[in-house]
Amino acid sequence: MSRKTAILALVVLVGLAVSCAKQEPVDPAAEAFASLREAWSEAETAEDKTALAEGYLTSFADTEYSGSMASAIIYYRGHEMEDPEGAYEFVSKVLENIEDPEQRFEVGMELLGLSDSVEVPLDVAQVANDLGAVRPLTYNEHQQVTETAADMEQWMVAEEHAGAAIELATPETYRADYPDREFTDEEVAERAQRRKALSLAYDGWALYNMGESETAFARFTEADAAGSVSYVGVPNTPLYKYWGRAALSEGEVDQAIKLLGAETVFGEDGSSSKSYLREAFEAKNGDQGDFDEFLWATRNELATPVDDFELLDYEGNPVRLSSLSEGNVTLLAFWFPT
Amino acid sequence: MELPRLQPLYEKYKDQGFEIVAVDGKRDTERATKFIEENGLTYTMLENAEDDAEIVGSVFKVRAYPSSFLIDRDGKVMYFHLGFEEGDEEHLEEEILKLL
Repeated sequence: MSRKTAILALVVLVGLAVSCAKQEPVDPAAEAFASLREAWSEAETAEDKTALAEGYLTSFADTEYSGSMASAIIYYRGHEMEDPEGAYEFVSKVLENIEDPEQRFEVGMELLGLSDSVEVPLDVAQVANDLGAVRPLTYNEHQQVTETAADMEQWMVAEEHAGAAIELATPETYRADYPDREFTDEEVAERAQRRKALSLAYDGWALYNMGESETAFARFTEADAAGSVSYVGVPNTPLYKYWGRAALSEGEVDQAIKLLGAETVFGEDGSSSKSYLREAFEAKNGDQGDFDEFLWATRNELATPVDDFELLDYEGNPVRLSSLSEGNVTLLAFWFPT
Repeated sequence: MELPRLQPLYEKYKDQGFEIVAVDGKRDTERATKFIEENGLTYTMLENAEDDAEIVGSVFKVRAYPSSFLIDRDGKVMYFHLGFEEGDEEHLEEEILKLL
């Protein structure tokens, strides 16, 4: 075939492909994803959901859905079915067939998230650098790398990405990350501050573990000033946990007790600080004093009165919290129907 | 969703002065009423208000669901719990018993 004929043949083929596409604009991967979504809403068990996600990735490894499918497998098979090895094995094979750098990053990070229970031979810095070679990482990506690296005790990697995340924790970046959403200036400023506080807490912890305690404590203090506290008065970041553990290691027992005490009784992930609080408590009191009593006293000391409110029930009747809670023990649960 | 798992706790302790108030933060009335009926939930269910009157985010600073607060007989918030996993209701029951 001469070069000219070859080009002509190519043009015809391309024309054919375009006209086919016009008649039938169907992307099989997207079509399969649409039917998967339908089946997903019917799927009740972790086994069902795992089978759906694995079936999808077996047919379509390298699509824009690879990351979320991998994440579903790791969640349902790895955590719910308690088979992290199986989840790892499946997803790591899928990764071999993925070329899209965006999806490689997502799937790679999902796999690295398993390193608590499985030996993951991926290098977290390399996974981040591979995407970084294509485009700059976003705030969320830097923060995700930071948290994963911190879990793996790769402190230098954690510190590098926490530093980059802090730089990106600005109102402008937050707005740019969610172009479809309408936020007020106050909302954007508040969320940017929240990001900054979170990354500063991780940066401090990474620095502390690298032996740079002075800079680390400066970061913790900065995180404390930047961050907001939850309704029950503790930061909604791991700041008190990390700061408290660092203080404990430095022998600053009173400060450790204060931070870890608040975190243990009212933190979002309070139970993970309890053993360090006990250590601090014992360092201060020796074998004198009862730890459980101390915990109870801490709770009473930090507890604040609930704000009363009035909302409508589903029949439209106004109901005041205090009309139910006064003199009773009340569980106030915020939920949304799924 | 875990709200149905609170129903047995409510029935077990309501005579000792235990109340549950659940607030739908997303205001999905249709889904919520269906859910309440299907699961036979008998404790108090309310809906967040709109805009400036909303309390879930602005007053209680809830960022993720489900978020739960346990209030003692004097009206103090004594316990906070984020999320609800298998087995959490046993832990919650212990906390309720400490306050009853």
